[in-house]
Amino acid sequence: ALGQLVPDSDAPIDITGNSLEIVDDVATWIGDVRAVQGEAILTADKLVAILDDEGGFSSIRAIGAVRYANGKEAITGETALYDAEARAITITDNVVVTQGRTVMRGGALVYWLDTGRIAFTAPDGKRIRGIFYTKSLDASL
Amino acid sequence: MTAATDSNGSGGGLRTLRIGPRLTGAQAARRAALARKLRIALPILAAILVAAFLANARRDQPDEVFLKDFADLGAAPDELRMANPRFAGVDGKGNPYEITAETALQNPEAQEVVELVRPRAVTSRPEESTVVYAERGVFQSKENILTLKDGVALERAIGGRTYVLRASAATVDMDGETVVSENGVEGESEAGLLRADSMRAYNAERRVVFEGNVSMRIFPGKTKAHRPAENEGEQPQ
Repeated sequence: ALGQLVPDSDAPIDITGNSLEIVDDVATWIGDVRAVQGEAILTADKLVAILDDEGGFSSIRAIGAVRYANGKEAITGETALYDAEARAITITDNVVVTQGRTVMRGGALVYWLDTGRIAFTAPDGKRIRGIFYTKSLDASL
Repeated sequence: MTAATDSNGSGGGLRTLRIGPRLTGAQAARRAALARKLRIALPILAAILVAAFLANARRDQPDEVFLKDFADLGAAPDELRMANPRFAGVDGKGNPYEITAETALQNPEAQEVVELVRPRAVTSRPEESTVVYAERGVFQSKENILTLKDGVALERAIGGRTYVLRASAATVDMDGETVVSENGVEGESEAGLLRADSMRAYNAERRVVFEGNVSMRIFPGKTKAHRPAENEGEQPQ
């Protein structure tokens, strides 16, 4: 499978950064790294991609100040791993998900690109916290 | 003259001589005539041989074969120009490299410096070879350094794809097994594009580093994995 940021898109993936080092099939971007595909944007301090032998990526690991946004939700954390086979992004360490005005905090999060489903796990010894806004009563009366 | 031997196999003295019939008058006359002819022919033959030797020695046209070997060599008053030169050697790790060009210009005052037109350098390693070529270049044979200018192109495998990385100038260090370009590099392959301010390829470590405004564009539609199967007939937008 091909590493992508949005499901089943042929839009090109643009990755920019201050430097890029490629050793065999490992490509490492360092410094203001930004990967964009269609509406999805993944930014981080460092990004390590395993190049498959067809010119795409089989996995992408983002490290440091990770932020993934796709126009609907935005997810931040310290590290993220995109697995092309599972077509899912796993984000860990200080994870915050923002959907509109809804905010949720947790230890680790798995986000399935194809379905948009999110699985949150609490950090050790803590609980998942979230702020949800219901439509205000007066607006509906 | 054949030897007759007695019963105990030892032939001794006169007994070994066979007495043949006397020459007839005609035979003797023929033999004398032959001797007279040889007395004239042999000196003439000797004279001809000596004359031929002298003629050959004093001939002023140089030998054609000799000339042909150096036909490509045009010696201008202050430089030596060679067509289709080929430099072969081994780098610091014993890997073979070869530099060819359309023409080479060697400055007699600095013989180790050779200017090349359309140089092409191929460095081979067990797993891959790197090819770099350009319009012009200068090879310093002492330091094994090739400086390339104008239309530099480096072919290199990146993620299973061969990228052709183009730059305006580059330096190839054969011993150090590096290719360095500081003047902006743009790369292209079937599956993507690549751009950066500078590039350093470390062939020995199969490593290449791009620095400064690095951008890479991958076309998912162009990578094999993503190409629709024939029967689907779906064409990427």
